[in-house]
Amino acid sequence: MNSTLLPIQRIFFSLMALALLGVLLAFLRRGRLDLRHAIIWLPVAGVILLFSVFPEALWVISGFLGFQVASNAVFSLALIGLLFVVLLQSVALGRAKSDIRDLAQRMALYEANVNRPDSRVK
Amino acid sequence: VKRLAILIPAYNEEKSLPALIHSLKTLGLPDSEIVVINDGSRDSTLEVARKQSVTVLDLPINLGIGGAMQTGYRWAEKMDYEWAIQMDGDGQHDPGFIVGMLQEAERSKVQMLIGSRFLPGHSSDFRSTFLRRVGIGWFSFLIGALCRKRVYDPTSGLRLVRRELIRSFAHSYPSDYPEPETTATAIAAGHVVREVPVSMRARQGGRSSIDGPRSLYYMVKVSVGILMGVLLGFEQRIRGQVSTL
Repeated sequence: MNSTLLPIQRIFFSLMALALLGVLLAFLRRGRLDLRHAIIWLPVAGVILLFSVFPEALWVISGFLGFQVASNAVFSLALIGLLFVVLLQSVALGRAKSDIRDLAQRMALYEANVNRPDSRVK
Repeated sequence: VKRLAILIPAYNEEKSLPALIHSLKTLGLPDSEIVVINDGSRDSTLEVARKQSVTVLDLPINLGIGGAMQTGYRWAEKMDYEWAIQMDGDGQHDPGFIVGMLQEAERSKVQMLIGSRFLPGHSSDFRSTFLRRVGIGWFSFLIGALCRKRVYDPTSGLRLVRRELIRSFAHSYPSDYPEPETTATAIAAGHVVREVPVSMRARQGGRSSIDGPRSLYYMVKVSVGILMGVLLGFEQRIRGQVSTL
């Protein structure tokens, strides 16, 4: 069982983490990403970078949590984290949908009120 | 106090709308308003409706049947109508039933009167597939089991509701397949709901939105919706009791 990362692996994962950070910063600067959402992703990129440089910390933590293999800890925690993020996204999407619905309805009501001829049935 | 708002949600109904509005006008209902809700149609529904001297609520985007219907209820609430009747824009519902339904509702003091195709003892010439009847039967059973009140046609889109429910629907209304869910809410909240027999025509144009693989989604969504609707109704009933203390 491999209990540490090869140097090439460390470099690869570090570059991936840096690329993620770079993309996040670029999105933030161009206004494509809300800071509110970036606040979830920035720590993710930071943690990946940290474990790429010091993978031993990952072994220690996963051992402490009772995992026999570090990758299991990574997969389990990543899965839980992603499910949580998707749930939050669903909530945000639902809220956005109901806001749009309310706005569209208000617009229709407002317009009908403004342009109101006597439209009653005789 | 104004009496009746006739709410007609319309999505791409340019063909059936003129005849429907014409027959509504020949009813000569005093103190009523025909309200067409154009649900972001891509055909000329908006222009057709605007030519008819009826009130048109023009939604800038397509919200689906629930969102469109709710727009109508919001209008009815704002204009302080005592009654609102909802009917489909596709010509399935015969305007001829409106007068009788209104009389019956006022006489029997109900908050919701459903035009029902499946009341026992009344033969209906309405044709429906076996599976659809099974589905409707299941919703009917579910509402009956949860609310101890049998509704034979909980999916009927021809419904007359009174001010209390106009307000409730203006405030919250499901986005799709809203009828069974809102009926369950109304009963659980303690409103009086009754059915009267009606017959419905085969649709004049267009297709049902419930077909094939969607029917499974439909069954599950509406079943969960009924459960949620009952909970909401009980909550409303408790709140109502608290506020009257």
